[in-house]
Amino acid sequence: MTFWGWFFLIVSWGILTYFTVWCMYKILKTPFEKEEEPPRTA
Amino acid sequence: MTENLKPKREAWGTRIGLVLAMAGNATGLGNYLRFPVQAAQNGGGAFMIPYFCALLFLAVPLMWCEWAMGRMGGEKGHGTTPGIFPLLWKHPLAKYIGAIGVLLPVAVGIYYVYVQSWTLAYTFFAVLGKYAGIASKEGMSQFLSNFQGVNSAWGVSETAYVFFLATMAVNTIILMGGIQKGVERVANWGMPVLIFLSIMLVIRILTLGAPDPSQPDNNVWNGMGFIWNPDFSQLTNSKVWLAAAGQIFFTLSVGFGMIQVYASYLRSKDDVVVNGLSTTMVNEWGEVILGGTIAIPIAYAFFGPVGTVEVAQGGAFNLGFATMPLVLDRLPMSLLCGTSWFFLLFIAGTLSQIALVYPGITFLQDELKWSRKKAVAVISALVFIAAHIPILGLRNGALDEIDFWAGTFGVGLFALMEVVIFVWIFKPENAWKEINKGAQVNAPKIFLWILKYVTPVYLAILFAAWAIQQGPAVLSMEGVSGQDAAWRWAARLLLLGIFAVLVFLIRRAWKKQEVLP
Repeated sequence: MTFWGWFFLIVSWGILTYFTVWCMYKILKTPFEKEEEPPRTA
Repeated sequence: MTENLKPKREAWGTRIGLVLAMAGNATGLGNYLRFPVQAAQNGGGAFMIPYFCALLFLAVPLMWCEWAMGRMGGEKGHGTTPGIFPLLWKHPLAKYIGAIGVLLPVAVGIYYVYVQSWTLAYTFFAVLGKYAGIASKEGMSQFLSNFQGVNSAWGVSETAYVFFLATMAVNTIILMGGIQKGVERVANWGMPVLIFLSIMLVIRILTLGAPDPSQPDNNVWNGMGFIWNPDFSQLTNSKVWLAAAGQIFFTLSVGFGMIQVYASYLRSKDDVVVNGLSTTMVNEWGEVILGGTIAIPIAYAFFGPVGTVEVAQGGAFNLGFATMPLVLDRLPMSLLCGTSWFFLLFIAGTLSQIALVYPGITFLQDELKWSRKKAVAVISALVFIAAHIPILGLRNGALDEIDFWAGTFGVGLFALMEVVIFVWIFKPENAWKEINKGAQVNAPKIFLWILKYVTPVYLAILFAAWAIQQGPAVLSMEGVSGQDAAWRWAARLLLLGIFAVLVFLIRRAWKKQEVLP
């Protein structure tokens, strides 16, 4: 693999992994609130 | 009827369950088969520049729009676009335009279920060693043709039909469980299993080296180079930018009207910014890192650069069902590797198929007030009967015909309509307020400008390019024989028939409700 091949691989994997971990952290840190809401329309 | 007397809609049980279900909706065969082929054919590493541009300017804004629309509709008891669009645009036509958001996913589901059934069949074939010993690509292609039965009198083999019936049964059982006990439960175990199997295969492939010591250059890392080494000259080619935008579009399932449906089961103050971004990122992580590391690198290690070009040109189905079983069968622990590959495709296909037919079910529940069981039974029966057109007409191009009108032309047109209605007719400030309502982290303000100008123009160019490049040839059935033309017309009439029924049902439902224009 060439230098630019490694460059694109590392940058792409890095960006995607960073944002995926950041999002999962936010999701797991703040789960849905448990309290009951008033019934919605159907 | 007062608000409190109306029956309560279902809701997601957990936030992670919602994200996994949405990510499962997006993660399909395209992540593992279409992406590596597109990247390899369109400039390798350089493909990632237009790919990330499309992700940023097209997919993320569109994803937020669809999530916000869905949550807004759910608050008012409407989970599908025929009910959501009239909330955004007080015009009698809005609900009929919204019918496209039910037609497209159900139409794709009509043929996708058959492809899903192939992955189930091949999982069994891998376990039973049915294709073990086939040593050539031609032999494996023949095995696939024989399994499909394209050369038989009916155009389908008994085995393929039995697996189609089994797949229909599995899907119907899941759908009968509804959102929490069906979709969420399957996503909660399906997505982790899918990611685990993918990582296991990635590790096995990256440690493979050169399988033939006499040809050391045919190794996995040169295979990674085949995908990632950039050809910068391709960046000036408009087709590469279109291919990247198309791939982003298909992989995230935007423009179908499906995301609104799952989002409609959110509670009114639930976040859509982080949730929407999370499902996008999980799907992209799976596509670029896992999908990009499995099929093409291993094909390169066994077939070298020339053979891999042939594999990439053979298309996604050929890569998945002819090339992959061949190469996985040559690995140590071939049974485990082959079974893992097809089972992960089956999970991805199942989660996508459930999401594809759910708009039909939610439409019947919300607008016609049907029970879930009745709605699931009717939609499953429709998919089962209608699927016989792409199944029996597979060799005559019926599947390709539905795929073009629903999966390419339709989604391009519908996505453009969605953005115009949500951003321009509903007004940009209202759309922005709706997206950021209850947000865990507010969307960056620059995306308001992107939503107003960049995304619609990007979508218009994409739709026009697809329509101009492929439309005339498909419409005029260029080079299509008489028998093939009959099957292709049957596919078109099927789509028109479903649309006509939807329009009739919407008209009847609105007459009964008399609450919306």
